[in-house]
Amino acid sequence: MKTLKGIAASSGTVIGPAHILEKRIPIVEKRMAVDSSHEWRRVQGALAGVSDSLQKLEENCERRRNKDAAEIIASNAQFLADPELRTVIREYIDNQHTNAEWAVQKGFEFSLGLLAGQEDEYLQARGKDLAEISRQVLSALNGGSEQPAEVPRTPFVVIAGSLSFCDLAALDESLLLGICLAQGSDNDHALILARSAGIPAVISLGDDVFSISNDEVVLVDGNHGLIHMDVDRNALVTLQDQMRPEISGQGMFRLDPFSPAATRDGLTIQVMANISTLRTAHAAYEAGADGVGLLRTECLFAGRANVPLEEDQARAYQEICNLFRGKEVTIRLFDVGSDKPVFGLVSPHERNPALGLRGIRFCLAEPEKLLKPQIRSILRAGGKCKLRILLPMVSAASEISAFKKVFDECRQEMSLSSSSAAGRIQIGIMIEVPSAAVMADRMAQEVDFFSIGTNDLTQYLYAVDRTNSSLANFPGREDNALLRLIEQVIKAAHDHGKIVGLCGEWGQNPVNLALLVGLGIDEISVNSSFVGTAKMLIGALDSDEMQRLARKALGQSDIRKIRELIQQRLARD
Amino acid sequence: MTTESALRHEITVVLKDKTGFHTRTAAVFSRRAGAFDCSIRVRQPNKKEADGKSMLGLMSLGVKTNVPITIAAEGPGAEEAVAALSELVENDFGVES
Repeated sequence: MKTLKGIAASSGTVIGPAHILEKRIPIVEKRMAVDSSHEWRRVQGALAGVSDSLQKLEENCERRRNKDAAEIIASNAQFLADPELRTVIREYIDNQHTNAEWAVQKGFEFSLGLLAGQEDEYLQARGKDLAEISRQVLSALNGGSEQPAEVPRTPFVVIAGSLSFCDLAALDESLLLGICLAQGSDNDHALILARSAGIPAVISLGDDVFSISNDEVVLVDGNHGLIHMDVDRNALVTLQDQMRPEISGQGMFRLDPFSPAATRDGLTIQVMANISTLRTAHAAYEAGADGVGLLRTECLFAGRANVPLEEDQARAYQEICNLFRGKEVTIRLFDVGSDKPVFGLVSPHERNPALGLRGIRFCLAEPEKLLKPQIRSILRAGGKCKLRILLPMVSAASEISAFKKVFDECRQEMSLSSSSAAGRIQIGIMIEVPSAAVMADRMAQEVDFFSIGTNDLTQYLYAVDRTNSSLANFPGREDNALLRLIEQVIKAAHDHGKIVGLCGEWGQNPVNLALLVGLGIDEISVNSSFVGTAKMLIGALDSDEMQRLARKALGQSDIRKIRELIQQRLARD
Repeated sequence: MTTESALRHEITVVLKDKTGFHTRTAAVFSRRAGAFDCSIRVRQPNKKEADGKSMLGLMSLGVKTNVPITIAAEGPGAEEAVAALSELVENDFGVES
């Protein structure tokens, strides 16, 4: 385990994946400018441009009901109108005939000087706000507004040199778990906001903080000013014991990734992991996953020119199985199609591969080459875990019976009885085609469990190609057609005493996770980096309350209000 | 009262905000001051003064809590400006309308 020491700036303890925030500093050159009035117009344009973008940011914060952040932005925007600042800039342009950039830089240097002369540390820290405004004006002069940095869509710990109030406002605070800064000061507006929002923060970590890589799981200890990296299972348990007295009563950020997740009122939900390789299997185990909710076998053997040998497959499955002793490991059959041809298998050219020969359709089309060897490997793998087979892209019940026929043939060939360990392997299907979701009550009679695959289900349900970037902002995200369908699937499964899980990105959003808890989901399968966070979130929820909110959401055509309500509820903890 | 003095008004009020002139209070004050055509100066007794329309200027005064400040306005609307700004300070920059 590696530990970085800094200064505690906002209390609390949290564990989550890192997101590194990068920022460009504009370089300013002094040039002579003949047309002073042109330069001054450029300055006015840049000041107005930044003023507009700050106003948008402020409105965004208000929409998210973050009054404190909105007020800080509104106050700082007032710097842009400052007559003293404008006078100094104007003097450089008119009297020294410099370019707009140089004049702006000098104007802000002068302004910073006014604040830096103060004894008050609070006022000195305001210089950083001013430096942020200056940076924005300069980048507005250098060819328009800055491209907004990519913002993560799942919960994260932000890693940065420093964090301006604008940086913080641009991030979705409901996803912000913690803050680690190389520099920073207690009086930074961003940290004042972090404290009021209860987000743990550690500052003054020095450049060592950049040895953390994107998506690396870090533990932020805002009580002692420490960051732990490379945290292994045993160390986490120790840390957790040390911290327990301080974190008790902090609801949301319960640090206990290795025990099962349960809501406040005691409802247990399995938090499993989506894995693709042996490496991610280990990461999932270290992160405290309660099992494997999805093993993408086509990724496990990616790059092979031929179908992997039964021995190879069996060995790989067994290794993963032994890692998750006594727990469920869900092996999804090869999910391949003409858009991702693998193992040298020839597939016909298709005009629309998303609606083509994919998933279970492909497996059933190649029973000898693809399906049987995989079933036999799974039956041979045995191991110490509870193996489950997951059928991808099922759209009709007849596909389940066709698979079962092949499965029984394999079992008979291997002389395994249905009561042997290998014979007791559970069979489930992905619910990712709307027809399967609609027929869930029928499907539930044929299988042991469901796994809702939201990535494909969303694209098939709304007829929105998930790889088409011009549809990236399609409003379906806010619509509740998906939610209603999920509710029906869960109900159909429970009516027949079957288990329902959900894998897919949709479940990795805190609000969606809360809605799923409200709808009675049994399992959730997420990326390893989200396992700890998911458990903490579940631990902060009350299932009755979430059930009420989820019911309310189902009855509305636009669930944005319910989302806001849940977000506020999560933020309150 | 001469015409000249009629255009110049000043008042001394105590700034009660717990941090004095900081980002929010200075922004609120300068924004309100900027709405008037008259010139507005703010000073602490026996200390330097600043342009009341400049947020930076106000912050650079280093006004702490419970310190009296003098707001002086000169020009059209001076009386109204002094009344509005002193009220703002006395109400602790509470509601900005």
